[in-house]
Amino acid sequence: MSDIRKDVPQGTLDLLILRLISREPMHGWGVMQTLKLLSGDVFHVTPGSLFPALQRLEENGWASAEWDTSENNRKAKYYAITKAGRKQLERAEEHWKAVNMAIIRVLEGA
Amino acid sequence: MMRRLSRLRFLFGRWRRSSSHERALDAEVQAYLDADIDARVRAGESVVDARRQALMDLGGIEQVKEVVRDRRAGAWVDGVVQDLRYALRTLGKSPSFTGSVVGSVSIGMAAMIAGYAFANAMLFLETPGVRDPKRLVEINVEFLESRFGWHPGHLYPSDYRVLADRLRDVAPIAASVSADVSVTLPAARSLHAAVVTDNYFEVLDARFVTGGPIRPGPDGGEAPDTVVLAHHLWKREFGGDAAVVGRVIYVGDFPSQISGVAAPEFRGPWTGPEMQRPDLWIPMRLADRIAATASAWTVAAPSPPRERQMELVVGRLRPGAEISQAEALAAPVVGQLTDARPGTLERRVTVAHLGDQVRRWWGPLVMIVLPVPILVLAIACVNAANLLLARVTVREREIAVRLAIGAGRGRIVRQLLLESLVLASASTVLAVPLTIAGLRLAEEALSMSMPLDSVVISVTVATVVMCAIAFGLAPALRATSRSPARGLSHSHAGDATPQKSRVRRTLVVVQVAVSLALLALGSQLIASIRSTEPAAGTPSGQLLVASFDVRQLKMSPDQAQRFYATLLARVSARPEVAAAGLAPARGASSHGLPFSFSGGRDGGIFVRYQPYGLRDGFACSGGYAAGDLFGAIGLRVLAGRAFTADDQQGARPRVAVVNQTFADRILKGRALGQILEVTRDGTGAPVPVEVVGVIEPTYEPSGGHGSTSRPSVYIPVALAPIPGLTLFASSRTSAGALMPIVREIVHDIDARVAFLQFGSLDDVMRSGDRKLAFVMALFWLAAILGVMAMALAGWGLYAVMSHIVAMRSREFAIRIALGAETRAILGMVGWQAGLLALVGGAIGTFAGVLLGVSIRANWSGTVAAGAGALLLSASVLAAVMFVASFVPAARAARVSPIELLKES
Repeated sequence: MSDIRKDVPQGTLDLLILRLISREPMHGWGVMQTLKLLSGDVFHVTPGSLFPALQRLEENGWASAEWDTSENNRKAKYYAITKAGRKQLERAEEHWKAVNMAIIRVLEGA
Repeated sequence: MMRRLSRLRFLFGRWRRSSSHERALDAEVQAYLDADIDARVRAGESVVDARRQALMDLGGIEQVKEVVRDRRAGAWVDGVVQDLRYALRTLGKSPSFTGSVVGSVSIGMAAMIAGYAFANAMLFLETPGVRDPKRLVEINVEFLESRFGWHPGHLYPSDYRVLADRLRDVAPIAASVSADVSVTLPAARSLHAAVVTDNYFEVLDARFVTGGPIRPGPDGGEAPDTVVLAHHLWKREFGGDAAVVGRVIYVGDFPSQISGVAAPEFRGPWTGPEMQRPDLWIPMRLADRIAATASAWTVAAPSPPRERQMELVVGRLRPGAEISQAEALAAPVVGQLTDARPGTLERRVTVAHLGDQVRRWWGPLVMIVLPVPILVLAIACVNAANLLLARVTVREREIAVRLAIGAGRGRIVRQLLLESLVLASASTVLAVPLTIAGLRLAEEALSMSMPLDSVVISVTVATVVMCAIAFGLAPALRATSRSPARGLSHSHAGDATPQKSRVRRTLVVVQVAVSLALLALGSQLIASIRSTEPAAGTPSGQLLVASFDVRQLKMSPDQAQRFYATLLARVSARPEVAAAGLAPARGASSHGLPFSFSGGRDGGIFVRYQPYGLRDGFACSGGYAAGDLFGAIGLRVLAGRAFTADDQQGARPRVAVVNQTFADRILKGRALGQILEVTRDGTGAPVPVEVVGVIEPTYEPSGGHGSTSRPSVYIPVALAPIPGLTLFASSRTSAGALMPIVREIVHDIDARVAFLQFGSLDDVMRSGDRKLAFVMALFWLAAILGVMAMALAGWGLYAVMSHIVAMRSREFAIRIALGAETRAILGMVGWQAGLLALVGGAIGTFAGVLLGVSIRANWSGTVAAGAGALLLSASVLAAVMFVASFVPAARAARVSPIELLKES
């Protein structure tokens, strides 16, 4: 299994995080764990990639962040998707699906 | 767009609360770590293991934070700010290094900013004190001659009226001419007036401090004429009293009402740096009245209308009108103009933006002078580069450590360049007060305003950046070119080997070359100044020149005669006066030689000498001389005698004195006893005079071809027929010492008499020929800058040679320890330094000669510097090189090798 544990494909981390926080606000560790869980332990995101990505979403106005108390009764910074973030998510999903379909068609046709 | 705005908002928010952002980042990473540890503990790991594993997975709290910082919006700005702080800290820690660089570069920057201010004032500034100066045009008439090309002619009042009529719908025009007038304020003063048409201020749209323009009045009407005061006169004479408008002053003998005070910056249309600042503006009809009352004139007084030449005809284009339309309208008028000269191929009327012609004329001069501050700055930058290179050698270890722990080369280069930028900026901040002080002096010397406006400031800012790159890039690249491992293991002494200090040696060569080129340029400029000084006669600082303005006081010929005779007698009798004489001269001519101008209303005389074969005679330099004029101006009598008191009796002259040039060229060496026929202005009956003496010739510069002497004839004058005389008195000490004495004598004889010109010949020359005075003042300033540059270069060379030699102290110690003699070490250093000086000197001499040739090609007033001056420059530089190399070498060679080795 370890040989297929990969980093998130280039340029898709923002999309994945937006999708996760679109369901409910999440903190950094939560995002990382959910990503791992939902990908079947394939995507392992390091904090060195995760935090700059979260910062980027916030800077672009796609996510808003607030400090709150976590399930373990600790302070954590929760990220929630914004209206602009939802629009971006739609665009990015459409784009990704189109690219994905194209790649699959090429792979199957070859 | 939204995304960009959001990023900007974020950026500013973070800058505003940078510390809280840092805390938040820290808390977030910590929260992540805690959550991971909690999860691991819940999964059954021990707290210690959980913490260790979580930390390993995280990859280090600081490292994660650094990654976040590096990737956030505006990270580079943060980096720059950080680097700036670091640069300030590092530079603060080495005050002597910082002081050396800042001191050196600030002198260069001060010279450069002053150079920009000068070029800006000469080439780009519009007429100050008027609204919308870009719409102003000047109208000129020009003649084409095969030899001289197009050159300016005269426009007379009648021409002005024709042009004004033609151009009325496109560009209303106004005209001015300058004159010296006697004004009673209440004390009598001779002031410089601009005689202007009634619409002058409206056309220029000039600004006023109080009151308004000259009011048009009916010719010969009862209402008094109105005049406008210049701001400086208002301040000086009326203490800036706003109630001055409406007050009556006397111009000549005519009551005139003050209608307004012009804005301080207004000095009429910009027509070049030689333009004299008017003290007041008077209407043409007032000048006409003054002219009508005086029977004869000093040159500078208002001329009667028929002789008046409009010095400047200026127009303002109406909205939407183009310069080409004005030119098309003005061109056909050429046939109706008064000034038609035989021998010219063509004439034309030109309409040009005001100041364009002046800029064309002065452009080459700017090109000559501007290289001087550029070279000064270049030398200062080379100094700074050398010092930075030396410092980089010392900082190699620090830079290697930073490279080793992961700082990119770009980041280090950026940081070193920022250090250079800090140095260049600090130098500029220091240079600004220096520049302002220097500009004040230069403005005084050049009689022109050189503001530090937005153009100068922008170019200066660009220069600061260029300088920082110029002196910072090479050291920065060099500092980061070595691998960290080599930098860490490297010893400082290795850098001083000839192969490895090539950059610095090249810089030394450049500096020597630039210094020598500058010295050559300075020598040339000084040689040009020297060539304009009179070759013979009383030193110009000792000769007092005082001309008077008695005709405007309506003195009768008898009164005038009494005045001049008493003046001459009383001045001559003073023990402080070596000799005194009077001449009806134009004051001093353009080159400081009395009565060197030929012909004219009150200048030279007209000579006919039959044996020479001249049927109609010729206009000749010289003129009337009274008292001991030759003694006063210091021209020795070579043969025969000077005038005696007897010669000066009677209404008609009987004898003449000629100069050596006249004796040689015209009289073929047999001067004494020859009879000449002379007449004033070539009119009236010729008077035969006998040549009784020959005086030494005077010389004057002529268009870059060295000095020449004109043939001159002098005849004695009985004081009565010639009004407007000039007193020449040579002082035993200085002209300044005579001034209060002469002023008192004049005041005692007649308190109403105003001085037209009063001062040493130096002063009179400066005010007499403002163009020449301007060029000379400029050349002096450039020469001073040249000397400053040499001092800078000497300083830089000394620092570099000291450093190179100091770096080699270990090598010297080993050599001495192995048995080398001190002399051999000194010889080796001397040879290496000498080689650098030789190469630099050769390049510099070549550049200097090239520069000289190009200057002479562009500016005919300059002459080549002699080989002696070049040799002197080279010797001075060689001496500096000698001291710079041998002092440190001798110091190194004197210390014991063991101590040297220990030190290094």
